[in-house]
Amino acid sequence: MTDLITIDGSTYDVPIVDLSVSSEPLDKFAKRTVSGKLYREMIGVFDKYEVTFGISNANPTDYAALVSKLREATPYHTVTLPTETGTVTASYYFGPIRHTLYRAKGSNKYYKGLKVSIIPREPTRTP
Amino acid sequence: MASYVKLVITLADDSVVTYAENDIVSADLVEETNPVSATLPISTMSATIHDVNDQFAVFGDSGLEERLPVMIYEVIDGLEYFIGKHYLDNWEIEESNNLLKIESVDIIGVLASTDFDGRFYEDFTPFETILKAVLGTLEVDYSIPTSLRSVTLKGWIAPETCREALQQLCFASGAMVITSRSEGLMFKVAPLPHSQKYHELDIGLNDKFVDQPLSKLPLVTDIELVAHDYVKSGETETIFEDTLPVGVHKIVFQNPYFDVVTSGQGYVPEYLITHGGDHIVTHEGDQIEVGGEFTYGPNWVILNIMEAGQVTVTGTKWVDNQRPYVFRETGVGSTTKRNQLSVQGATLVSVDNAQRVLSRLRDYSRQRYKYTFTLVPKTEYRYGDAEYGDAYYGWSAVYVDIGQMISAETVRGKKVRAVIERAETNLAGGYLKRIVATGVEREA
Repeated sequence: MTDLITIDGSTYDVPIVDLSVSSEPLDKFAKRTVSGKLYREMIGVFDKYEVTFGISNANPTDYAALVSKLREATPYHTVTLPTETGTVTASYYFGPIRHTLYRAKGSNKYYKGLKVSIIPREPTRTP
Repeated sequence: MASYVKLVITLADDSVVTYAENDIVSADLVEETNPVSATLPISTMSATIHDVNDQFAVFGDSGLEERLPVMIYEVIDGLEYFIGKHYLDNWEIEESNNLLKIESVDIIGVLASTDFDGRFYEDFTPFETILKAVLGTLEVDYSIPTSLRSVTLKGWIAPETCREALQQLCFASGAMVITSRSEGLMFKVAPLPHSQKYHELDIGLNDKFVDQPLSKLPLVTDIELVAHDYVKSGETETIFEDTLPVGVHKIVFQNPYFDVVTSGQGYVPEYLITHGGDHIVTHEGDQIEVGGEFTYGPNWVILNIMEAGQVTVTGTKWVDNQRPYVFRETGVGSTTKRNQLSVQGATLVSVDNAQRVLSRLRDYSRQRYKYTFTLVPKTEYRYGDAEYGDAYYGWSAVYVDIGQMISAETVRGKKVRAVIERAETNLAGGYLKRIVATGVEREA
């Protein structure tokens, strides 16, 4: 699975259980005249990704490395993400990251539900 | 439509810094004028710039200083439009975020911080001659229509700022001043929709966005305008008397005087010289003083004090004979709330032009419809088939400017003929321009 996402040149052996994409337009302005006609100046469309990773059991080392990468105090990352026709590589930043410790046995800790929003720095498409 | 703002700042060393597109976080321009020059508004621009290259530093000499020229442009669909020339007024550097915040003013803002020494005009003097005196040594471009060039005025302009002096000139002569789309001052004959039945621009209902309030301004019931006529008095009075220290002193007169005489210290001495221009000196080597002259200006004297001493300046005053001109609106009943406009200090208004100035104020006060709306920045068509056949003509808000006479269609199907007095433009947010125009209902 994990070849689907590359972050700063690295892939991680952590399964992806859900990946959704929302395409959100951003306007400089959008207003209507009395007749109802809309005028807008579009800045562009931003493809935002929501990714949920699988549990950490299979490869705890890669899981920890992935969490560490997602938590890095770096403003932007170069990320390659899947599209309908191939992949897209661009500068992204990460939204809030969360996961849940669901089991601890001895020194081993098991996590699930790792979620992150991957938001493009610039519009994915411009007019 | 794709638009962005471009700002070009010329630094003191003549180097140029340009910010455009993504450099500029926000840029808001407020342009204003007053058709009868009852005020002389300052147009302003405030911008927040993402200064990624740290062009300007907080510590030491930032390179920024007041009055640096700021040229403002808007680029719309690849075409660059000149918006105006401003001057840096204030700035703030936010180093933590690489943000540079600047505030700029137009040339009227510069005139507001420049002193004018005052001037008395005994004889009728052309508009341009007075204008040149007001601008003094400031190098300001200007354009004057022919009809204003023929206007002559007489009277007094007190020592104040150049902006206030310019307002005296414009108010008395019926001039409106515009600084937008210009590198200086552009004078126009006061456009008054009440008495002038023309318009330069049609703004249709769908050239504006939904939010377009139309309000009616309060009725002005009475106008009092005081005319000032100056006559020579026969009494000499002391203008200035004091002991001055060594140095150069400029004494500016607060009232108009003639036959000004200065006694005491402060004249520029003249020395005995030969025909060849050589100074004749005593055995001790001192030059021989044979009198001297004080340096007088139109409304001042400069005293060059070599030794501290008493100086007295006397003069004969021009006496200000004031005469009120009054207009009372017709149809004002005893129960109508009185709303009086009074103009006392227009000292270039004399009995010769008072009635004309009062008529302008009357017409202006009768323009009671205030229409506020935001223009569609650009549409696909404008005039339609009737005038231009099948051709389509683009409409762009960039051509709409303060001081223009417009005919604007209102929501209820009526039209107002009005003058644009104020325009607030979001230069970085799609060239959205909010207009405030005042005028009258236009007959069908």
